[in-house]
Amino acid sequence: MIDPFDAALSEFIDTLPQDAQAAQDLLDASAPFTGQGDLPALAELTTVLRSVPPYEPRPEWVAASKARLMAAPLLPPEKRGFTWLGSMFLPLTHLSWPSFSLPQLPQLVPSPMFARAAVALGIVFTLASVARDNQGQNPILQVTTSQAPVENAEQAISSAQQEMARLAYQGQVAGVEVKGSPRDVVLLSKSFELAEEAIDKAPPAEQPRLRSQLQSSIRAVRFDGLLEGITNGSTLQVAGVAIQADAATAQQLRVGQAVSVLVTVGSGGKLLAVQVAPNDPAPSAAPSAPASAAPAASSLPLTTSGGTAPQTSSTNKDAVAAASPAAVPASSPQTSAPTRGRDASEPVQTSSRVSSRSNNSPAVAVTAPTEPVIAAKVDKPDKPDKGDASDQAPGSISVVAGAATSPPQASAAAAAAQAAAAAAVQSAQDAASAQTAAGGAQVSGSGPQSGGAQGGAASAGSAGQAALQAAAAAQSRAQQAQSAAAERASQAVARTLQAREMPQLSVSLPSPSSDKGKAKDAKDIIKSKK
Amino acid sequence: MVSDVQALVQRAQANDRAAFGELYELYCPKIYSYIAYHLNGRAEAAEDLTEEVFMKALQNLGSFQFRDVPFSSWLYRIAHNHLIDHIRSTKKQQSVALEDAEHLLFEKDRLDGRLDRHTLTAALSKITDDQRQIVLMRVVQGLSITETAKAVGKSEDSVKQLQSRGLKALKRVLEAQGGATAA
Repeated sequence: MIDPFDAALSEFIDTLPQDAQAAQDLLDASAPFTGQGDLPALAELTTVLRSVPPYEPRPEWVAASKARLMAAPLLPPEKRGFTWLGSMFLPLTHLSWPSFSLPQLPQLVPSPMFARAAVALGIVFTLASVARDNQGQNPILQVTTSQAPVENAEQAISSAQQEMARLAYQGQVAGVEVKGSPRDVVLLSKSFELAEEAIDKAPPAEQPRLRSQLQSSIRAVRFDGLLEGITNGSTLQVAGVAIQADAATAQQLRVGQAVSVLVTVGSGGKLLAVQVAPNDPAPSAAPSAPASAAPAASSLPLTTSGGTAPQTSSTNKDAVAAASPAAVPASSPQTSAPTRGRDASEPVQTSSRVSSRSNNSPAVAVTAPTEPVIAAKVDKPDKPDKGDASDQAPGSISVVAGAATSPPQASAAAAAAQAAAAAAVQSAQDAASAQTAAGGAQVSGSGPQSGGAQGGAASAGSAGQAALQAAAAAQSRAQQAQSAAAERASQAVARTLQAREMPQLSVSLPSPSSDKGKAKDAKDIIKSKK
Repeated sequence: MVSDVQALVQRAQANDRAAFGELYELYCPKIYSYIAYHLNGRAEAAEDLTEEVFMKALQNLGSFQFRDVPFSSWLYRIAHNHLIDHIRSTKKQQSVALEDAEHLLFEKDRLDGRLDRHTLTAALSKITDDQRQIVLMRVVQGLSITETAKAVGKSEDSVKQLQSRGLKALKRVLEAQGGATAA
């Protein structure tokens, strides 16, 4: 709210004339501020101030100034609203780039600026050259591009050969084949494939030499596996590995069959089947070996030498079989190991021979030509002629192992055990055949081994049935003994390997149905050897 | 008067230099006097500043609009802002120079006891800037309350208060200096 005093003073000033005398007359005549405090004095002051002559410019200056203003150029009118921005950026609009002048050549003394420019130019050229290379190779390495493919190919070939050498070291068999796993086969195939790709990238002049170098390497590998499928009529899927085989060969196989495949790596890393053999028990058995011994023989990593097992028990039908044809050379049918059941502690000293006595204790000695003795023996019952075959075990299996020092020895020992088990089964089968031949005749007390069948007795029928039952029981026990023998034989060989310092270590492995006395005998054997 | 000024301004905005010359002759003594009071009566500085003020007015005449402020107020605002910039740049001169003081004494003696402009200038320098600005515009220059308010950017009531306080302060200063007031 405005003060009445201020309002009255303001009105007085507004009415105050510009002329000093008129102002004084107004002040004297009206006396408007009588009795209002300072107001009369302030009115008087304003009248005095109005009467003061103002500063006046010189007329010549006014004329000159007016002339200058009339001649002054007009700048373009500034836009309203952003005048402050225009005034702020006005100095920037008057900026001009300085004119750079390159120094003269004599003045190009190495300066920091010149050095930076040179480095920047070098970086730009390097980046441009790299970007220009579509293949993204280092341009420095392109200087020796002619030699690089050849070296790469040679390295790839060397890698493939090393892979093959590794397989050969691990699983070479008789220097001919290489035993491997499906994984090894796939890796080998990949190595050869990479090598061939590297050869393709090599200069044409070098390719023949490189290919011959690659082809000179052995590339046949054997591996076992289940036939998982046959596609396109000729492609076998064995353990996940695709193998190209003949259509005729493929037709002879059935899915799910265990096969042993000898493959070679063809062009492009393709696996070609050179030989496909079913890994079933029956077909790969040796001609003279018992049928039950065939699986063990075929599963062992031993090469066949075509030998025949000597038939050393033709007189008493004690089955004596070789573990495998390779383990039993045909030229050495000597008999040297006297083995009765309780005499199993005697070490078999035969070398490369299979021995068997003509008594009731068939034994098989399996040795490698230069390796210690590994023997297996099947003990027949002590008194088989009592005709009580059902009470007797078909025989215990004794594995007498020497100082086996290598995996082939262990394999041989296992084969011997298998052979011994086969002998036991054979004896049981003989017993069954004897009963069959008798046609219900009674079985004499000489036991199934005597082979004598005498008829005529009234009790022949019941005796024959009993004999049949005994034979069946003997067969089943023989099968159990076979499996147990294989396992224990491997254990025995393992122990033998651990006891390499023990030249003649004999381990007796009684069959499950054998009496405890034989086990005790085996312990006695070990103690005596120690 | 106002309509004449408005017509002159419009002509000047239409790039009529003669109209601007008329505006210059009309307002140049007032602007010069206003600046001279603020500069303690230094004539040369007042002349330079006055010419610069009118140069600014000429350059910015296109942006002037009558609907906002009177032309006199717009011109006084330019003068006051330019004066402030000048004082800030040359440092405020509170004291009167020696030659000016001698001139004041001579003029005082010549005026024989009456209040002269130099005494008034010296007294005006003792009050605040706002009060001095209002007293000069209202009392010395004879601007209306509206023109003064527009020129200083304050409300009319504020101008009236500043006017009253400025006059009281100036009266006290003059009484203290022993200067004669018109009886």
